[in-house]
Amino acid sequence: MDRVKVKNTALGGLTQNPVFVLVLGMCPVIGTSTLEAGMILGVATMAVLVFSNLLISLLRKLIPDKVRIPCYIVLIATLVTLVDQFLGHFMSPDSYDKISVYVALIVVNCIVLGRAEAFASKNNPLYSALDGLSMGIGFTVVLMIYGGLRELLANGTLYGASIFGSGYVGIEMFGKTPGGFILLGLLMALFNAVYAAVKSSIEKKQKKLPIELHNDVTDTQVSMPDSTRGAETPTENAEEDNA
Amino acid sequence: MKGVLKSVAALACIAVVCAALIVVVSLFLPKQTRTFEYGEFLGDSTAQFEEVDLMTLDADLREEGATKLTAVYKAVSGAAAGGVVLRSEAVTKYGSMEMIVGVSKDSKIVKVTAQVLKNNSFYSYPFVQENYDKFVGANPLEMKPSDLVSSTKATATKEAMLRAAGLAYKAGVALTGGAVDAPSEEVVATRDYFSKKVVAAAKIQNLDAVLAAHVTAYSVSLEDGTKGYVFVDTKVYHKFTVTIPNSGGVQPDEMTSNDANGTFYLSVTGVGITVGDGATKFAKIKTDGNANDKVFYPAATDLLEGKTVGKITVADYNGIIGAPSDALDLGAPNFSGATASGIGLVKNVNAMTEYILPYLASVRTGGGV
Repeated sequence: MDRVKVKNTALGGLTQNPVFVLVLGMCPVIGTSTLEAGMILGVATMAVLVFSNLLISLLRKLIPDKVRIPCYIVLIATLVTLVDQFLGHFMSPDSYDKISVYVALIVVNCIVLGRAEAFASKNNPLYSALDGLSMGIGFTVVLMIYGGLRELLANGTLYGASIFGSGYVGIEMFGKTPGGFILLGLLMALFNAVYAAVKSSIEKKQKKLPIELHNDVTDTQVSMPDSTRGAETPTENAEEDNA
Repeated sequence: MKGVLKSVAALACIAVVCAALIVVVSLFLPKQTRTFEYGEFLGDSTAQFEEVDLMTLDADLREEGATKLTAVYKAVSGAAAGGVVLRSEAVTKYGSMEMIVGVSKDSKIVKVTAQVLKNNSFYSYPFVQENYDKFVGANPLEMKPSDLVSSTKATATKEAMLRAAGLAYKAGVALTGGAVDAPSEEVVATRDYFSKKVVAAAKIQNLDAVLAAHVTAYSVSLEDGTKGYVFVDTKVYHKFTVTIPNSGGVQPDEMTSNDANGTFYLSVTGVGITVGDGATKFAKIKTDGNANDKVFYPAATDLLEGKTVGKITVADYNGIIGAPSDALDLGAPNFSGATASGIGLVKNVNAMTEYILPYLASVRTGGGV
């Protein structure tokens, strides 16, 4: 197993973060306005991502190329239906009512289909599942931060518990869609600014290091997304892995 | 061609396997039970519930006019096992509201709450606990808006509460194995049927101020063998404007110059009886509205009882009750609002007597408008 590839795949949720970097699956993100909703929707999406990547990777040689997209969608829709059934059975009705519309939309979430097409269809099941897990964690963390911030600003609560006390007058805008867009933009800008600073710092360190060390660092460094969003570094070795 | 067939076959295979997987998983998922706040509705916070598929209920238990059940949960464990919690939604022109009703295993209402889902006007008022308490142990199908406390002022809101609670109760009783007592008389028309017809009739008569009307009718046999109809709970909503001068008179204690002026809504509730020839008279009549009750001359309604249907003019009305200040002791000789509301009441009564009850009678006896 290629250590570097495992590392890069595992870090995909950060370096290729679905929300902040790839900007995919924005519909459910904007619909998330509480920490609870973010957590549930994130975990549901993660489950679908892991299993869809796994299944598609396992079946990639059996699925004819011409009908691969419809096949992926059928598989993803099946997984979403199963996740929806489980949530419906184990969540409280009120919570499920609030979240169910977004769960159904996971079927057409670009992240799921995007990872299936860009990664799972070209890599072995282990890497594919890892990619799904990594992307799912990245998506879930962002949804929880975003949903939590909106809940905090709009209602002064976090997971339903009052944080600022009963005297807090919420900023209603953040509970609504326009405020959601503004907050998402701010978070996205913050993430990319911090990420660029970290990357720049790593690059500066690399220049100062001897050649031997430089190669080691290069193996482990994180890379900024380029114009080929959705494409993955690990796919370069896909053929070797398949073999 | 071979490639196409292969692709289609692959897709079909995946679809079939996926469908089978969904069916198998749904069959083998444990029956859903959960504990949540609805346990309080049956007096047992630890009760486990299963969701009831609404489609397994008869259509009339799911929906009735502008009222429908939205969710039903059946308790499957604990002391409350066998009871049900029902959520029902009622829609009015003023908005929509939801009632959550707990019906125990012996078909009694245990707890009720309400909430406004959508508010289209000032007509929605906060509900009060006292109103919920009114439902406990009662049969909402037999309750009238006036049975609810006055702090829920709007008649439309009270009616919506009764409709939503009534539908939930009916379904709850059916699910818990009880039986809803049917009226002893034959129901000859539904409320909604007459509502539409009556409003249409009012418009035909250029009575635009009549906003809505609700009627429930029963057929009866009179002692002399004549067949007739009793119109129970006949209501006419009437819009009118009251202008009260700020000077030159004493205002009633509860009113200020700000809330006394403006447009008000008055409803008249009457129980009419009509026999085969369409003659109708009031057996009982009362008024309700969104402003201070003193404006609406509650005493006047007693005097209208027993009056035969026919046009009642403002002069007739004043003749019945005398001068407003004398009859109702408002202490304001020039209290024009009283007169205005009196006119509103008379117009409202007229709408009922001159157009609506005869119209209903003619419909039931085969005549026309």
